[in-house]
Amino acid sequence: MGEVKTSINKSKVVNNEAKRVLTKRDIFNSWIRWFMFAQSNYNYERLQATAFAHSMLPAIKKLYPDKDDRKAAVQRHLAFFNTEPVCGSVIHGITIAMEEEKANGKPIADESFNAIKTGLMGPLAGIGDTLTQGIITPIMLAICIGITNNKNIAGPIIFLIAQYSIMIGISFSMWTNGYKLGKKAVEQILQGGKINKVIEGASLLGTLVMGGLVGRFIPLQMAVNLNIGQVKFNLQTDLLDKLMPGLIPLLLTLFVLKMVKKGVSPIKLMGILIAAGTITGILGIF
Amino acid sequence: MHVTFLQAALIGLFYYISWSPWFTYAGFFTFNRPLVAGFITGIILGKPLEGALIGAGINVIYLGFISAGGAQMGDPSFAGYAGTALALISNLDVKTAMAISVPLGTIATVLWIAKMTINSFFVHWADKEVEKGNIDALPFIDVVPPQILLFIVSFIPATLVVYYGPNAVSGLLNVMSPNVLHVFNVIGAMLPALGIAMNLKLIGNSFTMPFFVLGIILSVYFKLDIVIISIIGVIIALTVTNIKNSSSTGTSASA
Repeated sequence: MGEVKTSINKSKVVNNEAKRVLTKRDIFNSWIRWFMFAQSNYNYERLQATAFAHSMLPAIKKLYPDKDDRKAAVQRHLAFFNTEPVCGSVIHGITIAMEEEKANGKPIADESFNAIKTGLMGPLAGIGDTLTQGIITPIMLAICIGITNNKNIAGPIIFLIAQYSIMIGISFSMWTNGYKLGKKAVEQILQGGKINKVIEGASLLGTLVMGGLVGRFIPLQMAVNLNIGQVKFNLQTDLLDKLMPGLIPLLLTLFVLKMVKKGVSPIKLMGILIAAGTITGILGIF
Repeated sequence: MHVTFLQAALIGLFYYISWSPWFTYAGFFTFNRPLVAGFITGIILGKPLEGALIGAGINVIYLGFISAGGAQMGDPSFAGYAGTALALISNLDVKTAMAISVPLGTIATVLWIAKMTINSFFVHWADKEVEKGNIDALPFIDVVPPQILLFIVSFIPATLVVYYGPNAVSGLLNVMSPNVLHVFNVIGAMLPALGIAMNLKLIGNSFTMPFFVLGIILSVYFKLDIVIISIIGVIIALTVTNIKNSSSTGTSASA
């Protein structure tokens, strides 16, 4: 309260001199509200809107002492918003920087705020989801599942610590960098090729690790024994293993992949796999 | 084993927490995953390692599940907490646990849909309060009503399933012969293909797919540990990225 009074006095006494500045504390307070409540009120109508506005409150209260300014600021941030919360934190940083400029006299219309938010939230959702849900988390999971399967309780513990560090690290640095660098710099980074190179390399690692998981978790062995004359012939050990190790698991996964790409829903695929498992199990094929 | 109501309630509580804001959004990447869900459930039921092992198995099925744009294709967290709990209480092996976790995770999707729909009302409430100038109502409306709702649709179903589920499961098991358990094993061996395939859809392309096959060979033929495979993967990824970069800068330099 004391801080607000001083800046009001300052702006009354010295016209253009009073600068509303956000401290590191304000930036952090805004960030933590987002990082906790991003999907607290997740809903079909406006997705993360209330969380976005909620996270802006510490900055808004610092920048706008006038009640009507505050109300206007909150209202422009109650618009539809949805992005990947960890990587998308850069958008909030940029928005806070823009609010700071506006509070200090730069004329920025409501539409400009929402244009930036809308323009960035899509690409960042794509990149963010690919990175956090498609690459980082599955790879971390695969590694820690591997550790757990060696009867090592460190698996889930390492996973917890690593994921918290990674996600907090990415989100907070995206937030503060968005604030410091502003929209121009972020657009440049998005357009530059660096992100794609990282995703490419990480995808390679991810795919290799996926293959590793196939070996451990799809141990399908054909239980078919053929009797050809005097010779006992086991389909798995005498034929398939000699062709290529893990052939059946590979073919199964590729088949499911083809179905997934065709757009068959995961729930349907679960049903198909359960049916396939039931039939082959009963017939004694596997 | 016998589960106490307190244990069931604790498991239900952690299931609620896994979708809640209280452990921050990083909770979505940790407590919401079957690996950790299984671990926590295991701790509550006194068998942490077994719980983690079951959770790990269930997690592979859900590896590629991505929640995007408000859509949800199944609830890996419910599968993790309830699936592991039922498996530990009823003494099921990992593959059978994986098989039963699938219907659990699928049915729980309705809880998500209910929450996403009802939360829309709170947005309108927030609009009204802000219009009146009462911006301090926003933090309250953003947190308290949706979390009370979430608690009701998460804690109650999960606790009930964990507490009463084993009776249903043991009833089924008594009817089942070893053959049926073998079938569950086969099912449990096929389901992971879904999780892996869904992830491959995202990161697999003509460049990366050969490494998928390599990964299979490393794990099946050479019986390499996943951690070792990951290290090899990092080495290959860095090398290949370097080669790609130097060849592209090479051509642009000579051009």
